[in-house]
This record gives sequence, structure tokens and C-alpha cells, in this order.
Amino acid sequence: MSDQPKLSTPYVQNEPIRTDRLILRRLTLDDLDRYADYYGKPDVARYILTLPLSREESEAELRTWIARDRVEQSGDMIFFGVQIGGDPTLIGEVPIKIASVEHRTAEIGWIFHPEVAGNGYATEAARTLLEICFDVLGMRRVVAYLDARNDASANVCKRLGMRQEAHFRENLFNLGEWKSTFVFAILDDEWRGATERG
Amino acid sequence: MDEPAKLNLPFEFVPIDTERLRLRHYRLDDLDALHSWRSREDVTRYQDYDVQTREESQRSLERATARVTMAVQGDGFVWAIERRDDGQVIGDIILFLDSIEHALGEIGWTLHPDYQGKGYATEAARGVMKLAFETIGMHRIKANLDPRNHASEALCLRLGMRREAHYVEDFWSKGEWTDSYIYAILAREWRANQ
Ligand SMILES: CC(C)(COP(=O)(O)OP(=O)(O)OC[C@H]1O[C@@H](n2cnc3c(N)ncnc32)[C@H](O)[C@@H]1OP(=O)(O)O)[C@@H](O)C(=O)NCCC(=O)NCCS
Ligand SMILES: CC(C)(COP(=O)(O)OP(=O)(O)OC[C@H]1O[C@@H](n2cnc3c(N)ncnc32)[C@H](O)[C@@H]1OP(=O)(O)O)[C@@H](O)C(=O)NCCC(=O)NCCS
Repeated sequence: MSDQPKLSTPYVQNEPIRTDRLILRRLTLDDLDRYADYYGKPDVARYILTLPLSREESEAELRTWIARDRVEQSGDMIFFGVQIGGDPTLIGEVPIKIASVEHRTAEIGWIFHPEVAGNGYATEAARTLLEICFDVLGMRRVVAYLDARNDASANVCKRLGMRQEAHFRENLFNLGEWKSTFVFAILDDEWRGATERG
Repeated sequence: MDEPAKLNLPFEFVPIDTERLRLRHYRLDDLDALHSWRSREDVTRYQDYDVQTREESQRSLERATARVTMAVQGDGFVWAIERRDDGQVIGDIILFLDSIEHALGEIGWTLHPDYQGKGYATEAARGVMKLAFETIGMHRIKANLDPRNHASEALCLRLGMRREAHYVEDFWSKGEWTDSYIYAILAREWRANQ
């Protein structure tokens, strides 16, 4: 239907990916203690509808994501565990989801342990997601959805050069509250322009 | 704590009467009317379908007439817009259930060009919103449109909707990357306007 290039899928998580300070790698069961620790924290959960999780729920969730190592169809999602250099301690995770194969759109996100906040790790890990999306998968558009009150997450989007494209009022009801949503987005040529300018 | 919305589901199709219009279920003998606009480039230009053959219009009509219950996400109704004074079918209007959990709906509209500019779409949309908010119990209704579709945007504004999104080149349509606007209105905002 489109004369545009196709996605290079499936994308399979293989070797760990190194950035300046971090390693993005597959999640393992050894991550459970840390995973359950931050998924149980109210400050991590505040702006994520499906959280917090008990330890049992965290384990089930972790096992689900460990079992998934590739994205190919619309709706497919994988998580990268993030660690600092050679230290295997999990500090957070970053997901990539194929939002639409047809429209070559991906969705990204970030969840980090509060202990490591304020170091730019989420931004550094998310830059790698954008590289994977644009340079490896051949996406044309990458979006992020967040709770409109989640300033820390909006700031990650802005540092990545994403543009705010939506403010949906009260589009979600969760835990006794109507919640509003921001959507940020960036296109491949914008990403390349920003990367070339440094 | 906010009040959750309580949707009145399953909801069976009902006709809606407004001052000048009767919004009713499509019938299979409405094919000539439906095809009279679905075959026009000026009507389909900013829609998610292309100019249709009569056979395609026939299938659209069959799908529309099959929609009689709103029970699960993705269900919706299509009303033929009939002018009360002469029985002429001049367009149609849809309401879809986007989410049960969050009580979200989506609205969409089409008028044959001969009947545009008379406030019929506004009148029909007000009737559908009244049903959606007051009877079905939706919390929020959105409309998705091409930013170049000024008539549709003007209609959103007449209905008191707010532009909540401008997606840049978010979909490929009719040979080009296309932007979209999303307009929306909440139940309490709609009520305040009544
Ligand atoms: C959203 C979240 C990942 C943001 O974490 P964060 O630590 O604020 O973001 P970063 O890792 O990019 O760090 C940026 C901060 O580090 C500072 N920083 C220090 N060194 C830096 C460096 N080398 N590079 C970039 N920033 C650096 C920045 O100035 C910024 O500080 P500021 O918050 O005072 O402005 C985190 O708040 C979180 O996990 N929240 C809970 C889960 C959640 O809500 N996820 C998002 C769902 S949409
Ligand atoms: C979108 C669409 C339904 C809007 O139709 P419309 O006729 O402009 O809208 P209305 O029926 O509400 O009529 C409003 C016009 O009638 C005028 N009018 C006359 N009598 C009126 C009355 N009693 N009440 C309100 N408006 C009246 C208004 O001033 C307005 O005129 P203007 O456009 O010059 O400002 C129509 O353009 C259409 O079908 N387009 C093609 C299909 C399409 O793109 N659908 C939307 C996809 S998102």
C-alpha cells in the first residue's frame, strides 16, 4: 500500500548493547529482587496504571518479559534491563513496542529505580531505543505516552528532542481518579537532524 | 476520589429525533443515498476510505445495518440522517465505543455536499452526544480528523470540543504521510454547555 520502505523485522534482542555508561541487556530471573523492589514502590508506580505490584505479581510479570525477545507484529513489545557498566544490578528498564507496522511507528518508555534518579540514565538508555527504532528497525515515528503530571518523564522526552503532540483530558480512569495523558513524538528525519547537530 | 463512569451496556440501537432530523437505522434500500456521497472524491478526501464502487458501498451498508448492539469495545452505531420534512437521507453519523474501562466514545460524521452548510451535522451530532453522555453514560467523546478538513474542525468547535492532539505525520493515507487532529469533550463540559 505504501511505497515507503518496510520495517526490518523481526528485531531480536541478542548481545548486550553498550552506551557511554550503561549496558542494555535481556532481563533475567536474577533481576527479581530489584525488579520487585521498584515495582512495589508507590513513587515508581504513581504514574503507571498497572503498578504497584506485589512480589508474586512482579515475578509473574518478569517471567512474561523474559520469555519475549523479539518484535515483529503491531503490538509486540520487549524490555531491555539496564545496568551500569559491568555491575549486573538492575537499575531500570526500557521497553520498545511496535505500535503500527503499517505506519512504521514504535512506542518507547522508561522505568528506573528512584535510587539512580537524576543521573541522566533514563535519557541515555532511551537514546539507544531511538537508535534501535530508527537505525535498526526502520521506524518513521516514535511516540511516548505518559501521565500528564509526570514531569520527570516529560523531561526525558524533551531531552530526547521529542515534541509534545497531545494532552488528552481525563482519558483514563484508574484507582478512583480520572487521569490525563501527554503524548510526545519524534520523526526519523528530526532524529537524524538532531543527531547530526550533536 | 472521582466518580467512575457507569456505562449502560449492553445498549441496543435507538433512533434519535431532533428538530429537523430523524437519525435512524440504515436499511438495505438506502444504497442509492449512501452511494451518492461515498462515490465522491470531495466527500472521501479526508476520510479513512477511498471513493467507493457501488459494490463497496453495498458492503458498507451491510456492515452498518449489522450494528445493533453496543456491548464490547469496538462496537458502534451508524445512524442514517433523514430529513424529517421530506424523508431524504442526507448523510450519516457514527458513535463507537473506544473503551469500556475508561468510558470513551468516538464520533464521526458525513453529509452529502448538497446538504452541507445548513447546520444538519451540528444538529445530528448534538443528538448523538446527548445519547452518548446522558443515556449511555460515556465520560469523553473524541473526533479524529485530518487538519486540512476545515469543515469538520469547525463542526468540532461548534460542538464545544477542544483540540487535544496534533499528531505529525502519524499515518500513511492516499499516497502521503498525513497529520491528524484529535478533538474531545468531557461529559461535564457538554452538560455545562446545555
Ligand atoms: C521517568 C524517570 C525514568 C525519569 O528519571 P530521571 O532520573 O529524572 O531522568 P534521567 O535519568 O534522564 O535523568 C535526568 C536528570 O539527571 C540530570 N543529569 C545528571 N547527569 C546527567 C547526564 N549525564 N545526562 C543527562 N542528565 C543528567 C539531569 O539534569 C536531570 O536532572 P533534573 O531531573 O534535576 O532535571 C523516573 O522518574 C522514573 O522511573 N519514574 C517512575 C516510573 C515512570 O513514571 N516512568 C515513566 C512512565 S511514562
Ligand atoms: C464535516 C461535515 C459533516 C460538516 O458539514 P457542515 O455542513 O459544514 O456542518 P453543519 O451541517 O453543522 O453546517 C454548518 C454550516 O451551516 C450553517 N448553518 C446554517 N443553518 C444552520 C443552523 N440552523 N445551525 C447551525 N448551522 C447552520 C453554519 O453557519 C455553517 O456554515 P459555515 O460552514 O459557512 O460556517 C461535512 O463537511 C462533510 O460531510 N464532509 C465530508 C466528509 C468528512 O470529511 N467527514 C468528516 C471526517 S473527520
